[in-house]
Amino acid sequence: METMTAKTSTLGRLRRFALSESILLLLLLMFGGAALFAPGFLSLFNIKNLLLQSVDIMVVSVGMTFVLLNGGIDFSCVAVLALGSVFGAWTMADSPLAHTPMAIPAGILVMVGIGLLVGAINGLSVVVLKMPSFIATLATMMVGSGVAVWFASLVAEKASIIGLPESFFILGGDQGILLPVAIVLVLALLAHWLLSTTLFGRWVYAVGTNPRAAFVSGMPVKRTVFLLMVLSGVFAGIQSVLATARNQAGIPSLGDRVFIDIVASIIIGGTSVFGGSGSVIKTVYGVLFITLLNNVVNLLGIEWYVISLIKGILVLTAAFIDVFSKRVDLVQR
Amino acid sequence: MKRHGISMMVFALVGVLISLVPNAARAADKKMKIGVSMDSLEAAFWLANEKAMKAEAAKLGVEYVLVIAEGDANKQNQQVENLIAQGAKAIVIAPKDGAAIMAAVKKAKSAGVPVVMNNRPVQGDTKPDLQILSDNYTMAKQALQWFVDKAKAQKKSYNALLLIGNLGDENAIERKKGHTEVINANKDIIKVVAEVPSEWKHEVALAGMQNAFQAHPEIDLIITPSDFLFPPIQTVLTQLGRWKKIGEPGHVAIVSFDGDENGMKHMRDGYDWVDAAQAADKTGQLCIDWAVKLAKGEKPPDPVMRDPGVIVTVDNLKKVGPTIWGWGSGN
Repeated sequence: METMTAKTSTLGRLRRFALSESILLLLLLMFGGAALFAPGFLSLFNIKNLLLQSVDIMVVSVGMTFVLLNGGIDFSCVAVLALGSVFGAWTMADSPLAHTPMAIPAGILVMVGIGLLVGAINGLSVVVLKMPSFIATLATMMVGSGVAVWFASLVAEKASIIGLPESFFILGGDQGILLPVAIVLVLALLAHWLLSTTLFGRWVYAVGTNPRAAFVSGMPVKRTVFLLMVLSGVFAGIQSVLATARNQAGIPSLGDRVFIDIVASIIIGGTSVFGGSGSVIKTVYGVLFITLLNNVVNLLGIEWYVISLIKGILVLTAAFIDVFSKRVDLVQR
Repeated sequence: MKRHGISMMVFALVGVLISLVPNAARAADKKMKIGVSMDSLEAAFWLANEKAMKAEAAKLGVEYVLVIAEGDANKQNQQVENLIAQGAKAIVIAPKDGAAIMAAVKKAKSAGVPVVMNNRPVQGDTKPDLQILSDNYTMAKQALQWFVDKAKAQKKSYNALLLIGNLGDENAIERKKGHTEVINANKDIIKVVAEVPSEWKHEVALAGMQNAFQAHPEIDLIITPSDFLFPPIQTVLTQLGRWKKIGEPGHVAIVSFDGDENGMKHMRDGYDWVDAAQAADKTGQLCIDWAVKLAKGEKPPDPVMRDPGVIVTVDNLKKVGPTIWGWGSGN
């Protein structure tokens, strides 16, 4: 009897593990499939590629997870990528600080500062002006993208800014992937720690689940929402640093097309579009999954439009299941 | 329920993915693999160019692997990395951004994979093995100069709308430079009353032109950096009742670039005065030829090959038109 109970409980634990870590298991399945079928997949060159390519959207996705946990969205993160890229590149290549020892620190400061500024504007718009994050960040995205293109065309003869210091490219993996991967890992762990162990983390989930109840319970709802938007902006600013170093240029169109990958990673990872549930670790798995998908599709020579199709279906279905499960929850209550 | 549902869905999609694996990819690769990375495949120029590359690859018996960046410079760099990883022996790139692609070119070169730039050049110090380009600046200049000379002969002057491509694209910049130089030297003939950036997007060009015509109904000349933008040009002029042939009252003159099917059709139909035609198909064919040669260790005589282009005008249309790739069946 005891053996049966032990077996049942082991099976139960395994089942619970399989369900709670399904995205991780899927990742492993995809990896195994790719190793079997995709030519060149297991080469050291490609494994390095995969890690670097996951860096390309990891930080911004982790930042955006904070906003999604609150049931919001941050469209402006892509504009922060572009804005940071052109202003930071200009600081390093063409400003009075260019070619001085201060060029790189100043450039990085500018990029992260732009993220902070845009995040603060978004936060104030949502908290003080009571604008939905959808509208507030859409507006900052449009303004930001426009400013990025305008500024680049003003300072660079050929729109994108080149001539950045060679040593800056280390952050993009030019001399090995360790540094960018380590930066991303530290940031993801920091975000995970913030959400899972601090009081702020508990506020985030509580406000995301039910802001009114959180307010009645005495939680600082406005401050939490403001900080979420700022964090998302800062993380996008840091992503801008890494992406600019990786592409070795300040690009005004940087981030134009990555929004779908960012959102897809978070939602496929398991963060609810309604807020209140999800985690940074799941987003990390989601990013790895999307990166792996992009990589494998290329390696297999599958037609290019298939990837869009797959991502679109994944996001739509994940969102549908999210909506459906919320309805079931409501009915069961 | 949610996670279970998502996992089921993704399991199914993984199955679909695996079933989509082309036989060629599953089998051990025997043929030489040539990677082709395109910015996007929307414009007729790029469609014709890609078609020619594919045909040339089939003719030469090499494996042709195509990736499309969908207008994303960062994604294009990732895709070039993926082409290197899967063992491409040479890579042909039509870059979204001439500056951003530098990082991918560096990577390919350090992996010993030769790179051929297709129609768009690389900026910066790192140069690919070969660049097959159009002489955009000269062609744009020649086409507009021909129109200016014609206007001078007819004692006419024009209020122009200058359409601009994507300023991240070197070709768009060079064409703008060529157009602007002729305009500045002939201000008595052409006065630019509106500049409309298109970002190489129809909807952006359409909205910009509608606004420009609203503000400046006196516009009677459109200078476009690509035949790709003909659909929004036709839409806006039709809406205004000004889609008129040369010689008809209300006609808006057009000076264009590319020599694609739209451009050639509108020249035949009498709407377009002059089109600077590039060799989309020939460029594509040369890119694959040289990619294979480079992979075999041959060196090009010159690291940059330039297509001088052909200026197709209403005067030489019958003679020159049929030699252009976009002429088609002539219907």
